[in-house]
Amino acid sequence: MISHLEKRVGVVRFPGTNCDREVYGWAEAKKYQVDYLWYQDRFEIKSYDLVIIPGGFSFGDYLRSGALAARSPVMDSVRELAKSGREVLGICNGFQILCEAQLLPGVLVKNHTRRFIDKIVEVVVKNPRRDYSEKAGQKFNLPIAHGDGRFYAPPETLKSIHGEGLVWLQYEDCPNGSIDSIAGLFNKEKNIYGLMPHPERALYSWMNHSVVADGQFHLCGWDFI
Amino acid sequence: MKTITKTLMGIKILPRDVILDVQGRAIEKQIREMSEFAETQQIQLRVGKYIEMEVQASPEISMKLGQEIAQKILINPLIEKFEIECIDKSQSPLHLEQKGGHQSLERPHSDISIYGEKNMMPEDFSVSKGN
Repeated sequence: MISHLEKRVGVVRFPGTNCDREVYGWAEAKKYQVDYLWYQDRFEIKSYDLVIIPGGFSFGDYLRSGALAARSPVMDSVRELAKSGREVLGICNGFQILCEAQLLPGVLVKNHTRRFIDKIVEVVVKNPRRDYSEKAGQKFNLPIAHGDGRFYAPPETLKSIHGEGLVWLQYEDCPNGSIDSIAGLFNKEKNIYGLMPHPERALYSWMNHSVVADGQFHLCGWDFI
Repeated sequence: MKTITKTLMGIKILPRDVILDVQGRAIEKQIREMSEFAETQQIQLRVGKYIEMEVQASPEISMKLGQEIAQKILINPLIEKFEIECIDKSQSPLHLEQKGGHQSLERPHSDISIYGEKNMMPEDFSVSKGN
């Protein structure tokens, strides 16, 4: 496992990305080395251990959410980086982009409520990641803010998702109609993962998450990256 | 003189039947609630997209290219299906305005000005200025 000080993080920026600074601040707070990565540029994959695709409305969600971003030059490098076994994390729109880029199975479609949902929900860890502190069955209260958050995969894909234990997070009370309440997912190699909730918005206790109780500024109970 | 061949294509994209078409459901509901159509209980519609694409190539090459572009970016095969057609500009209703003005775009009931041009908002909907 890479120690905290050695970890080098890249944060991808597309036109319309709006959670990049939170993610950057979050990596900085953990004393990681952080860089922004521009969507039109390819990057040297050896320079990063983890690439994060933050939330937002890349390309204004035109065509389909994440569709245009998934076909940007930076994604060639992300694909290459993932192939080399390094980690890729997609949050919210980042998750949609990873699905559109076929780096994760399935797709995210309009919420069954037809509305944008913005609230705090409880998610439970179904399968924990390697090398991270989370445990199966652990619960977190995390903010969600999405219009297209309903996870859909055809039956045969869904069968393999469950068969291979690729479900990372599930909603306790599904807000958006996601199939099997899926909130987060891995790829088969478990080095690419995406989730709809925004853990970067639950970084500090004043950001209204419920993990810490003393009201001090510190990282949320979930040692996320 | 060499003439440039242009081909106009239309790409119809519809959500697959397994996908809950939320826009379609919302519109259906609204139609049912409109008093003129109150009897129309059995209406079903699906909402998709229509993309027009013009290519400077022969119809054969353009259609092949159109197919490829549609599959690579315009649709997500998990949730959408598409049909591609060659458009004859002179026949297409979408291009009538180029020939004969805006007649086809005029509202059929122009006396009912829901959001009429004269008053941008009807009085009932006007924003109260007190707050």
